[in-house]
Amino acid sequence: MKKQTTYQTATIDGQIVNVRRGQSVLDAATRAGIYIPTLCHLEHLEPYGGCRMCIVEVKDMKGTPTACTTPIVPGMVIRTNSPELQKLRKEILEFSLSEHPFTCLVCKDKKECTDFMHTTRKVSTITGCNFCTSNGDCELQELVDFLELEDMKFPITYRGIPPVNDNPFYSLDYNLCILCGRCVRICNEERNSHVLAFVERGNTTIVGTAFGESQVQAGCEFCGACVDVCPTGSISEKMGKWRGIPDKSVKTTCVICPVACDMNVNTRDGKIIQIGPRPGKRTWPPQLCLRGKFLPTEINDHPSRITAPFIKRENKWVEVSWKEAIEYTARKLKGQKGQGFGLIASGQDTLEDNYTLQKFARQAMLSNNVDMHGSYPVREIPEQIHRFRMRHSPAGLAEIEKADTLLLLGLDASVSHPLLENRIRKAYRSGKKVISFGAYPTRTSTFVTTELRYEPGEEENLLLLMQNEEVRSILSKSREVAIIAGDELLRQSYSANIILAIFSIHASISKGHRCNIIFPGFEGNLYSSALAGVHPGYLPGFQPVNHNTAGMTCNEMILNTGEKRITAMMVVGDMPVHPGLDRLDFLVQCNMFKTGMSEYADVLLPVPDFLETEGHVLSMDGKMKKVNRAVLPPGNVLSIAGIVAGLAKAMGKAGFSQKPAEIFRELKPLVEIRGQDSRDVSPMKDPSQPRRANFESPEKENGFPVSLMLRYNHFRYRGNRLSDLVTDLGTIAGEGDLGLPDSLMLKLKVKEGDRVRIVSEHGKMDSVVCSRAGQNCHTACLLPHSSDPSGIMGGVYPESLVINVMIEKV
Amino acid sequence: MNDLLALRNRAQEEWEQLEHSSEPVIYIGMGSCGIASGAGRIWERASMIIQQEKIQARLLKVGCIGPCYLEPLVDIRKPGHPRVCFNNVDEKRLDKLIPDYLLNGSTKMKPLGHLGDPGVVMDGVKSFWDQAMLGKQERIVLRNCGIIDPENINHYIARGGFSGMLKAFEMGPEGVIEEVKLAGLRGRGGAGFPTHIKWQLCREAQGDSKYLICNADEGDPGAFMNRSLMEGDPFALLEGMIIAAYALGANQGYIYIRAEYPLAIHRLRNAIDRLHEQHLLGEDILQTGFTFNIRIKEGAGAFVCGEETALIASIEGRRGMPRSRPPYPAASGLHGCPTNINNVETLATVPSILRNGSGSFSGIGTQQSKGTKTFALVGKIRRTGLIEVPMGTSLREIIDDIGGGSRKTFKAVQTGGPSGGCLSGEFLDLPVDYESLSKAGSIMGSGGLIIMDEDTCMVDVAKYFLKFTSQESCGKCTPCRIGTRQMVVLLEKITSGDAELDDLRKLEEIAETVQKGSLCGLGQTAPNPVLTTLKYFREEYEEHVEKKRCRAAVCRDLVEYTVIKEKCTGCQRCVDVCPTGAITGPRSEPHFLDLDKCIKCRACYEICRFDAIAGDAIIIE
Repeated sequence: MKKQTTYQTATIDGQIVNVRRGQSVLDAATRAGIYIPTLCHLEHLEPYGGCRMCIVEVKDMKGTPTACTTPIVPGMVIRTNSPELQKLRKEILEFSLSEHPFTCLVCKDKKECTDFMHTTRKVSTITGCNFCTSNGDCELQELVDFLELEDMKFPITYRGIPPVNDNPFYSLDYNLCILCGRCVRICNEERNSHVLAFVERGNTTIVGTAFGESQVQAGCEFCGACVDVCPTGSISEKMGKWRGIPDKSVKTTCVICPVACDMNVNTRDGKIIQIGPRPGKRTWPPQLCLRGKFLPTEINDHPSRITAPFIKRENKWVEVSWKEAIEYTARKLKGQKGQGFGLIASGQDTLEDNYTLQKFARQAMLSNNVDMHGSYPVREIPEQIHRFRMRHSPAGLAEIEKADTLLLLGLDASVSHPLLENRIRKAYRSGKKVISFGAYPTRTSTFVTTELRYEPGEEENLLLLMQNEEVRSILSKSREVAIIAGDELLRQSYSANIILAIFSIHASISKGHRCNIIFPGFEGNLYSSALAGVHPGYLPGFQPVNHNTAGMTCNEMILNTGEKRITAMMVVGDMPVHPGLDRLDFLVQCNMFKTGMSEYADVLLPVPDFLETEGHVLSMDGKMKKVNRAVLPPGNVLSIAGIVAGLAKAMGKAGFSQKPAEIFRELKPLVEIRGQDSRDVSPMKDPSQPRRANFESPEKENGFPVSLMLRYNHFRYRGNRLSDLVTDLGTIAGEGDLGLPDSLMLKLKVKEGDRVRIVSEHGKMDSVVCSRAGQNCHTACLLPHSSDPSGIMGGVYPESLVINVMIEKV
Repeated sequence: MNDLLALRNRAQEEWEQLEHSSEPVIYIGMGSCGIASGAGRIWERASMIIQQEKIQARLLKVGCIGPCYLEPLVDIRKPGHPRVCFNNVDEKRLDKLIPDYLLNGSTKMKPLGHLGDPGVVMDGVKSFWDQAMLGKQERIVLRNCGIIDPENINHYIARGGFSGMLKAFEMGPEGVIEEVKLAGLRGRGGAGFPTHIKWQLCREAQGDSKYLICNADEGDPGAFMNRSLMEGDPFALLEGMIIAAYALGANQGYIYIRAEYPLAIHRLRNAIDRLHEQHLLGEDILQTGFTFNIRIKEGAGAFVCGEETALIASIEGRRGMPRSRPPYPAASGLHGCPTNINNVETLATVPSILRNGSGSFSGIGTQQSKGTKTFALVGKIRRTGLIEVPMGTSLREIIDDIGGGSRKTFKAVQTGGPSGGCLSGEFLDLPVDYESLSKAGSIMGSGGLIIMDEDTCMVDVAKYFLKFTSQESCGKCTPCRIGTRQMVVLLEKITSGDAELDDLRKLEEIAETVQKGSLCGLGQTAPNPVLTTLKYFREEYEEHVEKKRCRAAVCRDLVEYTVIKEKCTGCQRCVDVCPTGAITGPRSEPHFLDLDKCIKCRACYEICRFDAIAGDAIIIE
């Protein structure tokens, strides 16, 4: 269906403008370059009409309608700036200011104050009027200037509401709030988080949470959208807010998850003020999530970052020069060439860095033991995904938006991929069908139309899913289906079969409908780094290595340390402490922090984070996106590629560049995603007859009767456990919380808040019961700490997200 | 249709039996007003008495018949006698009344009147309808209130119920709209928009489904017309809704009613159930193929939810905040579908228009305002209550003839609640219709009439209404949320004697901004009480500002109470009532008021009952 756009004209301030159907007066005026002041209006949000700044006069229309809510019709004659309107606006703005501290707006000493503002931080803030973090970036100030407001006739009524600081990332000072409702609307309309609301009524109306709960209790996901849109200093980031107004903004790409959002890093004097869409537009580029908006700032400016290389001498860390560190490391590594060397990279680094790392391992160290933190337990999964993406084009957010039916398979995306989940929420809100197949209820469950449960080990139900009458009737009515295959299904020991089942479902749906599969892996470059060769079984481009020389996975390396097997390792980032580390002869850690693992390391090399790095990230939908350097790394920090190039050179190995552009030229032909590939994965031919018992379900051995689903802990960066690094993150991360279904609670005679002990064949840990799982569910689930000191998982990372345990009350 | 005819026959039989019952019938007025003045206890007492005395009598609950100041009202019909109404019945009087009247044949209590035809004397008793309060009234909407059992569908049907609906089905939707147009019915919610246009717009609008909403969110202080109507004759509202829905093509109706009206909700729920039983609601009503259901949505009592877009938001489960129009609800309302919203009274008037023809309605009233209008007559007036008068009746007729005038000197009448204004004595001959009232700066509103006398301070009244609107503002738009508060601040300054003359100018300036700048009707009309009092009672404002004097002795900061020795009889009533013990003195001797202890609660002033003293005993400096 083609959209009909009929152009006719209307008159705004004597200027003839084109009128497009569905356009508001404000849109038309903005398009024609006519400025109408606004406070509450925001593109991408429903028109609100609350601030009354955009009032206009329309011929033959009574009163003063608001430009943002009034549809423009051909022939309309509009005035936007008559003296009466300006007077009315001025008075309404004065109303707003009568509840908002206004000395920074209309004070006669305003200019002097601004000129000397940089000094106020050296003295106590009460000696100046510098109580607002947005001074200089405040939309009220723009309006005051536009309306030439110089004096206030109303006495100020300070609301006297104590600032709200009970969450880790932003503070709320409702005394500065002008109730434009942007935060409330973006929280509800755009993010569907439903945390912020208007509370109270009449002249005591204020923004808040239901029943006065804290942001955390109210279920805030800390996406930060409210912070971005606030036109005043009412909602502001805790980190960086007193550093002034940004003077530089760098556009880069987030590498934390493969949605790979655009992000603007706003800095002043080389320090990050905040990350988000500002300056200028407050909703574009699209907003970020907790891990994208708040955590990078916290990590980047962390006080415990190391800025110089260290070598361990006589069990003490000694700061050394880069030259010494590289030479020392190269010398040590020279003696470790061969299959005894292992390298662990991170899925949250650029393609360039990771490509260089695997090249170093293979060409300089002659070892295929190359893997990443948190790679798939079944080695073939990345290749399977790759083959699929070669035959069908990679799919992402656009495909979710286009689809009229979403099929979520084992997806728990509210923390891992909030922006992807956001599209699911929107689809649900707009009346599309969302079918979810999961082991336990998640936050996404609120936004699904049909929910089906499976018990771990019974994923064959996945194929039976297609036999479900309800699902079939839904699918028969859809035009375009998007399957979102979460990693929860792909991280089981038997996932090789599951992914085939997913392909079968795809093949079956594709017969009658358009259908895409989206694979939202966990870390930004996890899949694509495997494509770039960070994989024990594949060279770049998924060229298999000779079967005999295939390397070890991350877990295998740790479990096989010691004589004649793995004797030296290089780890980028952090890893859970494991006794295996102690058996190594030589361990190099490249990280931003000293961690528990550093106890076992011999060399510690500082690295930059992704805000300090140049490179690329390959997004979920197959786009090669640029990662730009927004700030310089602190002190004397080399890039990962720089370290590798230095080591190679010291070891006498040529052909290692440290320039991202050069590396990219080298790796690009290897990772082009489109192309022909003869080796095809064969989906099951007739999905109407599912084969049962093809899946090996983990046996429920005696003594370990409960299947426990380990939820993936997403609060890590390069394996670093963020709840240790970021203040108060632990209070919202929910680590260690055990979710039990009602039936199990009854059986184990435990209730919410009880302390329990979880015992597996490998170890035991204590936990607290929280009521995450609901009634129609049989599986316990646990969000483990990202390190597993008790070792219920066996290795450093679980071989399977489901393990058999026993739970007892303590 | 045959079902309904059979039903009507049965209903008429039941009604006849009641009218000519062989056993006595006792009707007790049990609207909220009656219950508040003790009708609940009267009901229990009456059941007890007839049990104890072994009287074979029927007890019946009816709604409010109007004269609230005479509540509780008890009607008794003896076999062979007319239904006779007794007023201000308390338990003591009831103990005598029932045995005396039913067993002994006569009672010392003077009946208020019989409920037969006006102008007829029966059993030596004049007609109830010939009383001064009721004589000038014309009861169309309220005709069943206080007469029938509001929970018995047969009573309603026997008195012509559902014949309007039958006629509507005969006429077809367009015919109904034409009939309503001919009748000249305008919205009774306040603005007076012609009902047929609203219906026509909604009928013509494109949409999968359409909704009819009855706005029963009556929130004006002092107004209770809709409540009494829903409690006294719920079926009329439902019949009106069926007719309206039929005309619009709506299949789902909502009654948005405030949860503070539990009795009305109970009676409406009961009425809806009865209609379903008789297949007058639900699928395929009377085999016409027309399907209509009604749901009741209880509101949490926010004044702003009377605004139609806020009301819709509230039904949808969102916070009751208005949005800008267009789109108008007729095009995109509840769940984005075409929606028509009418006031309770508008909808309850429709059956009678259809039943008796548009001429019977348009023959009443003025050129532009047809028919009758109900009012809640309250305040400083002798006869308070619920009244219904033809449009165009003058304020003087309503206040003096129906209401019996004020005891003290009349000062002002407030119409239209917080959105309306205060009119002074010079407007007493103003005919009450939409145009005349808005010309005078006030509005018709939903029908609250608050009478004020010399004991009312007009600045205080304006402050009261502004406080109300500022608290009831939804908080969405700046002018209403903050502007009304700034006005309250200024008014408080005036009533506490701290204001300057310039503040009056400021007040007017803010009022204008709020009027012009606000999003919805609440804000746009909120300054009306201030603007009208400033216009008609400016001297009172100026007195407050310049002389620091409140002539009504209301504004506490401007009043000092003293006892005038010459007038005080020493009755000690004020001594008893004073909460701080500021007044002392032996009985029969002039009392003494200790100013240091006085908190100016005004209790002594209110209680002093010697007229000569009450006027002057407490002077204002």
